[in-house]
Amino acid sequence: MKRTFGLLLILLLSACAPWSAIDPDSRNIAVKQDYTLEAPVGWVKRNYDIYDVFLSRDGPLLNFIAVRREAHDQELKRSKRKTSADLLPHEIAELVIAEQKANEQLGAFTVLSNRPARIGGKPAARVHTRWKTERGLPIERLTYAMVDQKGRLALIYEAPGLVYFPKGLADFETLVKSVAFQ
Amino acid sequence: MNMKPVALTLLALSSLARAEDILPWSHPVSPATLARDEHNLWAESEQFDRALARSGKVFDDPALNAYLQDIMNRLYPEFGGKIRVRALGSASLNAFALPNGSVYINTGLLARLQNEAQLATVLAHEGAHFVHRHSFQQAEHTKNAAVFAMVVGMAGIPLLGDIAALSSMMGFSREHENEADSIGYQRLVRAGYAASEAAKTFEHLIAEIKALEINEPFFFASHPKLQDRVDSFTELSRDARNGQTGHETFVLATKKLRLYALQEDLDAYRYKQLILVLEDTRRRREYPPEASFYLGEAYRLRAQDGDSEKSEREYTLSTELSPEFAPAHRALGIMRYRQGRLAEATQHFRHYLQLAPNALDRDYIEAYLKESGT
Repeated sequence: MKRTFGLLLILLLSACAPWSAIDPDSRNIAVKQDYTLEAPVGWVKRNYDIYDVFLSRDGPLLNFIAVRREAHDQELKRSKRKTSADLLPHEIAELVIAEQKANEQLGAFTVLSNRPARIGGKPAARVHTRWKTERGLPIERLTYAMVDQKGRLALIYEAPGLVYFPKGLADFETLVKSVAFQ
Repeated sequence: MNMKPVALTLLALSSLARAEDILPWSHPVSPATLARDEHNLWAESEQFDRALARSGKVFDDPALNAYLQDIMNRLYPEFGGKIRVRALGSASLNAFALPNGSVYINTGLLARLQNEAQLATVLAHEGAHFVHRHSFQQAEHTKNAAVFAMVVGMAGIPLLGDIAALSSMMGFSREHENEADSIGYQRLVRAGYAASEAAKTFEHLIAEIKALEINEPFFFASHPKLQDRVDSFTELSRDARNGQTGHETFVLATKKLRLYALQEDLDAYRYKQLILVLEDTRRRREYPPEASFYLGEAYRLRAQDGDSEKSEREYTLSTELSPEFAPAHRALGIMRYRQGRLAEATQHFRHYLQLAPNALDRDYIEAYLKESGT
């Protein structure tokens, strides 16, 4: 019995292990000797294979920030499109929108704003979208995306639109501004 | 005496008798008068309707939905509007009927039809499923109802991405499909539509499915073999009198939807579909002149040798045929901007912003104008 309990405890602890709080004195995250960013204080970090950085403040269902760098020849998950270094910012925005619209699970998908931006000094797109879940809950997503010779980089912030999205928005915008390429 | 086999036999016999007793409805029905099982099925369908409405998936075009409803009322006049039709914002070539008389036709299928008679063919078929209570008759009724209840009832709402799967779940036997085709055809003719269009409804869709090597959409998946179906409709309509095609009415009523469907195809990178449809001059006629712009965009996405010239030709054609349509000016501006022909790019960009002062991408265009030194 003791052994079973111990095993369960280990399993529970290991399930919780990937989350770690952002240390206020060590917020800088370096990714693959490619770029760095500063994680917001009060958020927790988790390691995911598919993301370079994955953060949440109140749990991933309530808000998350995901950062992902990919090679151009890697197809986008849903639209199956590839990217290239010569894409103009509005074309990057089109890809961001296409990728989300290709998800049939999203009801009442709307682009709230779409404008040029900069990530680490490089031209980028900033696309703010909203959709409804099957329960009618509005979800908002803000995506910053850019391309360069190394590939594409996307920074995503997603949260339910009613309370959580505005709550974490400033932290996300600050994180985007902190991105620096090495 | 072991009563169990006797009871099972009686149960089997009673369910057989019951299936035979399920007669088609001849007038609008009040769900309150239905037996428990059918009443439950009806209630779950109502719940599904509400969930769809809440999700924003129902295509928001009251004029189009009214047009669809008028056709259904013409096909099934004795139901006085109780077979309710709505367009659903989904690219898949599908339509389905729920047990409560709600009929949904996806924008993807609607946009691919050529005239009102073809649309009436689809609606008459779906209406027949409801009127003949096929979902209740279904041999696998119990299983279907249970799964339906699980998806709609327990979860409270359906999973929207599974709409197609749900309609497939509610899919009908081959016998029921044949019956719906036959009843639908009779309704089509009685309503005065051109019977010869029934077969054509499927002919060009079959060509599209084959050319694009896409999976058969659900509307067809549970149906008789496609070619058999076309042959059967062709045979049925051999001696039919000429009827109404409703081409012009259809083109006008679906103009907004067609452009929406083209944009959806573009957004989802389905440029192959777009090129296949719009390169066919017969089908191109069913689209508004702005379609040239979308074809130009499809060539741009395909990016094969010579596609840049094709894009330019289509964009230019769009500005000639529909000078007030802003996106074609934008596309020409981007093309010139990429080519370094900045003076021309500026001209097109300015024209674009004049026509679409509130364009969502205004900031991008202004940034390009700035970079062009203007």
